Amino acid sequence: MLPQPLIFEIVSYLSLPDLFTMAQVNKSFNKAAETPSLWKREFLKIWIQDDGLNSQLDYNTHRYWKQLCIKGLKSQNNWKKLPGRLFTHAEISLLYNELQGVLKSPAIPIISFRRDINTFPTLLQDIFGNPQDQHSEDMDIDTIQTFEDYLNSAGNCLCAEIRNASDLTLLAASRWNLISTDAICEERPSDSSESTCDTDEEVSCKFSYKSTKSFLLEFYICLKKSIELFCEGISYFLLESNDILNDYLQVWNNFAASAKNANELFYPLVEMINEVYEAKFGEVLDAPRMSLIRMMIAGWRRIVFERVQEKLISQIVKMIESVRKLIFEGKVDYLAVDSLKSIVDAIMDISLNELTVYFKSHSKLQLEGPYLALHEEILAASFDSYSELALQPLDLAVFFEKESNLLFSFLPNSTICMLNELKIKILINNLQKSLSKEFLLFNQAPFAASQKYNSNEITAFLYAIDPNPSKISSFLDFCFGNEKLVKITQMLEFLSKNPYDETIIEEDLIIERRATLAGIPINIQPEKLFLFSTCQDLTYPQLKNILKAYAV
Amino acid sequence: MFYNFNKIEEVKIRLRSAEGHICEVEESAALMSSFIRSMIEGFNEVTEVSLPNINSVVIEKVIEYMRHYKDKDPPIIKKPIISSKMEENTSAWDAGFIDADWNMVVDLMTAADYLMMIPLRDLCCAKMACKFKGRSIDELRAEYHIENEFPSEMEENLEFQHPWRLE
Repeated sequence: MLPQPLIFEIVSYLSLPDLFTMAQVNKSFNKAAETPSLWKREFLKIWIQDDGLNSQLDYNTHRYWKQLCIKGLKSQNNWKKLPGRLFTHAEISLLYNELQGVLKSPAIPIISFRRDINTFPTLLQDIFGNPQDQHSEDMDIDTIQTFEDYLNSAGNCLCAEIRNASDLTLLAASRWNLISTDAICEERPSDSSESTCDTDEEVSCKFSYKSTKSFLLEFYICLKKSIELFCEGISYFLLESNDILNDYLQVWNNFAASAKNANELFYPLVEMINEVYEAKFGEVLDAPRMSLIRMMIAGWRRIVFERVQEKLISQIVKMIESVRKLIFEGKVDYLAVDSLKSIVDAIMDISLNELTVYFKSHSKLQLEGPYLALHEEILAASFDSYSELALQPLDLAVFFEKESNLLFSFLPNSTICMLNELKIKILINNLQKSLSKEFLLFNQAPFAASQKYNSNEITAFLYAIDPNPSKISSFLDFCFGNEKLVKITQMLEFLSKNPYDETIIEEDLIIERRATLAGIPINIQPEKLFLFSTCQDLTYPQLKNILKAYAV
Repeated sequence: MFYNFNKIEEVKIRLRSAEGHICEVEESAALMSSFIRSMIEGFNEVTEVSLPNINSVVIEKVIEYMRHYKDKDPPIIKKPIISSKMEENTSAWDAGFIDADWNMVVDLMTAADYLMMIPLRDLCCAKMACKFKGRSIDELRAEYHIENEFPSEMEENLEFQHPWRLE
């Protein structure tokens, strides 16, 4: 038969369904059709992006791409199984195609159309900050018409479903997606013990045994599975990427736009579901409304970020280190600073919520989630590299000043503040060291002090080294005549009195004022900010209620 | 006698086939093959290359391809192919050129591989892929006399992976 390299070449011209066939023809074709990079190419093409992502044949590709393709086809099948009484098959496949289109090539909003660019620089933060604006009015008329048709039929079916529901609590729980799918499985009688297929199939098997199907749960699972699959593909793509920073930025920007698009696409449907259920159970259910954006972001955090976290964060820290090294040499890499700004913002995006977004650059923002991980890495790496710097204390101060100016441009103030504290500690330590060195070497004969010193910090410090008042006062006198020592003592005095940067405090005040204008009461106490950051799963109306409680 | 002094007679390369036939081709065309190029560049004044594992029908076909693409680059076929019709994947000339029976395509492909002519080899591979595209396993096995080498349980396993089963 044909030589193996030629078989590889032939198979590489084939696409998805045929690859499955070729794998079954015979051994050499099987071997060729198992080439992971072919599956990667197919997966990226069908589920991630039409073009754009590079997928040249790469022999380091991992085997899971084939599994992903199989998962993708399964999830596509699950959509086909969605009940025909709520939507026709044609409508479901239209919705599925729309969702795929939105994930693969979202319409990127033009920046000038976004409001308040200065406060919310990224798309997602803008959406968080302006929640009432989520439903864009410039949807085209055909789509609206189609959706109205959907809504009428779907609304009727949902009402019927609620009328017939026997297990209200389960329905309610599923409506809000409060119990995980595993928990649902356990509560059901176990018809499924023979079932050996993987979880998503199991779930759909079990639904068919259930007499009252929750359309929302099925719909939600299909939607979630599709989005999770997309995220999974992205995470593997990033793990194999050679330039993870750029690739992460590219896919994240797309995903943020997808979240906006998908939210608009399913907004009428989601809102209708929310309203229909609320009309019936509204008072009983104290649970968040369904929100696609929140679901998508949560999926991204769980699937993409957690998998690539280590690789991504270490790359960012490395880049910060190289920027820092250049500053040390007196140069600035503006390109690197720019991309650092975007990547830090991208990680901020998935660490914020509707409330914390207002305090994004507040110095006392309670950090949480992905950004917290980055923050800790940055602090640890900075501590290491500061300790390695072999500089005279005065030069060190100059370097810190220069560095701060640059770091300011891409790190949020909460990190800057921690970094400043670290730097001040190191600086004071260094200043004290060189002062004490001079002091110990100082052996001029004591004489009567010509000037009275009342700088308590420094005398106290010197007293701790050598409790000899006359030596101290003559040393201080000597310092006064020495330019370098004057600077050191002055700086030491300044730092120990005044550890906070005034520009940061000023900025905090601006943020607080702006938040008050937006109707958000301000009381910057750590525990309250901590409460803000636990609002991850609340809706805007609920947030408003909480805020009212604050204000009273 | 009339001479055209502007035209210098081009060197011809003689290709000796498996049967011992000689086929002549212009040097500039023959250089498309990296194999022939390395022979010519490696040994000065070589004008005859022996190709003992390629028969003369195939050599004629290869020469036809060489002459056609002497002065231009062959089109690149995009992976994966979009249709099982060759005309939709590449230029009309290429599709017509490769429109041959199975054995011819296989011989041409191995010859192109041996002569190190990547574009021709890719064209043959794409043609083969066209023949496979959209066919069922049983059709393929019957048509190309491929034996099922898999033990039955492994075959079941492979089939289980086939997502079309789910429908």
